[in-house]
Amino acid sequence: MAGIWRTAASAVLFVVALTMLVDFAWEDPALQGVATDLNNWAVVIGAFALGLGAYSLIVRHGRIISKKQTMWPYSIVLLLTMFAFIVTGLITGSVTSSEYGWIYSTIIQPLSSTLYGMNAFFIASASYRAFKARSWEALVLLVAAIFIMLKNAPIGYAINPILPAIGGKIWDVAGSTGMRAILIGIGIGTLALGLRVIIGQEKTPLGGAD
Amino acid sequence: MSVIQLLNRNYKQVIYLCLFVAIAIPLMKPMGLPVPIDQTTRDVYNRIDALQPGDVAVMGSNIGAAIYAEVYPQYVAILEHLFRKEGVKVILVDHGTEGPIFAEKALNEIKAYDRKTYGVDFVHLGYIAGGEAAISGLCRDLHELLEVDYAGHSLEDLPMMDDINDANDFTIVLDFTASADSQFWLNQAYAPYGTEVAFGLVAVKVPDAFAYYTAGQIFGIIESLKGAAQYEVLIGRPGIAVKGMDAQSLAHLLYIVLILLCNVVYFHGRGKR
Amino acid sequence: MTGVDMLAVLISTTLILMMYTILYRENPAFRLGEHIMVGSTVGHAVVLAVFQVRDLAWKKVQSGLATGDIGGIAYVIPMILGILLYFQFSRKYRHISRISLALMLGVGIALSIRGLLFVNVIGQIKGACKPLTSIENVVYMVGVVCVLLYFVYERRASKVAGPLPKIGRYLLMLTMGSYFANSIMGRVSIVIGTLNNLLTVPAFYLIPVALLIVIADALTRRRKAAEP
Repeated sequence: MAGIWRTAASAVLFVVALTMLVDFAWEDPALQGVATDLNNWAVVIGAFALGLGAYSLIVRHGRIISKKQTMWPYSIVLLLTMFAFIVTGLITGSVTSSEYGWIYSTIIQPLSSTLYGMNAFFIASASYRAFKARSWEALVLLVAAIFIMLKNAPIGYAINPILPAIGGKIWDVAGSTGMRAILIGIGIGTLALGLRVIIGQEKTPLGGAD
Repeated sequence: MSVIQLLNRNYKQVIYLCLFVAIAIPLMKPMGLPVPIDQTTRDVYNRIDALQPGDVAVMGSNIGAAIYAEVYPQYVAILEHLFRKEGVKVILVDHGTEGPIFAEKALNEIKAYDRKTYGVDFVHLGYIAGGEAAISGLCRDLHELLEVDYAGHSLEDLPMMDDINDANDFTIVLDFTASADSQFWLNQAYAPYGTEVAFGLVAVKVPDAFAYYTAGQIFGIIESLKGAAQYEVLIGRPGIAVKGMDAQSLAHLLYIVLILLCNVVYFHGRGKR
Repeated sequence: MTGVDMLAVLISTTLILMMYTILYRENPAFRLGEHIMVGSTVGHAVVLAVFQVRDLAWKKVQSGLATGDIGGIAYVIPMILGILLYFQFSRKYRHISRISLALMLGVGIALSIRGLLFVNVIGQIKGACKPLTSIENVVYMVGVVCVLLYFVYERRASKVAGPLPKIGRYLLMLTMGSYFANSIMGRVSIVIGTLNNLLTVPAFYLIPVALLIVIADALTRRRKAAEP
């Protein structure tokens, strides 16, 4: 039974991808309509996918609470917070309502921004401990980083305009060579992987071996 | 335990404190360092300044709480500039879950609803799930994908949307994001329709975008808080971004000192051995 | 400032300081903040999911049924496929979710291929192949070739490529340096935003309270460690 579904899924992937690709190359109103519908259907399925995380969390933390495993009180807080947001959002009917905006700016905004900014402190301690120029390549990396940091902040211009000018030149060279080559590599790699998935050579995205 | 031993054992906390002080002091007592303007920011400013009545500017956003500090000031500055342009239509669309909240916050901050008429001069389409598929749907046939705006008003009741059907009707697209979403606008608006695109990005994504800029695929980049500060200076509305530049300067100096210190100690130790 | 605003400031400041305690050490306050963040972020996503399904599909189905439009009624199909996605969590029926994944993947891959081919591959190669009328353009074009050769050969020696892959490696180090510098700028910007909120009255008054708690904890732990 699983085999039939796997085959059907591969067939759906192939047909959908081919339709979208042919639509790009060949102007036909009927084909355009089909491709637009497929596109919009994917958007709708993407909306359902937003709830997957919630389902997974409820199952996992529900199990932790019922079995009173380690840190189970925190799991209660997690689920309560989640339901508080869901109930508030559904009752007010909009995420831009003043009530929902209040809980969003009071809870999610400070927590999220603080957590993401934490890296600044960790990079600072790593700068002191770990960023040693053990090789010529590391030396080039660190020297480039220092000059670009001086370009990125007004202090570089205040100390001496030559410093951000050097940083700007390094930035131009890096942007026009290394970054460009990386983007070309990403493009070719994604093309190759995409074609492999479409023709069924690569099964991992659809669940792989099971 | 001596002070030196205490500092050596708790060097991490000492560094954290130094970074905190390096950022906090300029925020409380600004130094007033002048903010130089990058060409990437100036290009965005010039292009928006050159917009004519009837042109349509699309502001795509994936602003979230995590990147709020970097990207939101850019978003507000550019929105303010667009709202100063007579007759330019602005469409706000969000492809991140937290986008609608910040879009409405920005509109309220610049008093958009008092200055212009919703549905005639600007429309907020809200969040559309689906990543690249959503942007593709918008660019192919906007009315096929969406029937209502973020507040549930039918698009048929919004006069400015009558003449806007797909990416051929977009004059410029400005995308504010932290992730690969910016690539989506290039793939779905620039590549098939030739729509002019610019990015407002977090610092980490700027190197990638710079390659697109030098290839002429985007017309400008607003780089993180620095770009926001530069844009605030250009529109004559210095705000939170300009205030943060002094703190950015001291913090960068601290990082440079730490890296140099690390290597001085390393090479000194190597020399001894 | 109203009472509600004051409450918002106090709660958000407390949460920020709770998260910052990780810089001192792993502790229950940070764990609590982490769990609140995960719960609230996922709750927010669920709210949006409900509204999206309502606006992008359910309303179309309703109007399709009212007017007899097959295109609108057909939006039942992606709604069913979206529900089938949740079979991922069943060990026995996981394979059912593959159809939904397949449709999303098919659209996603096709859109990526269409876009990346013109933007990343052709566009960037065109960007590299500028007229060789200046030293800069020559250097940039040779540089791109060097880095691409490095991706192919890595550290392997090649008679054909010669020293070019090694030059590419150093150019890549310049690129990594710029990513590193920008990464620092980005993180510092986020901290600037957070501290900008923290260093305003009345949030500012909670900072010494937090510091006192941390110092008290440090002294207590030191005393306990010194006890035989």
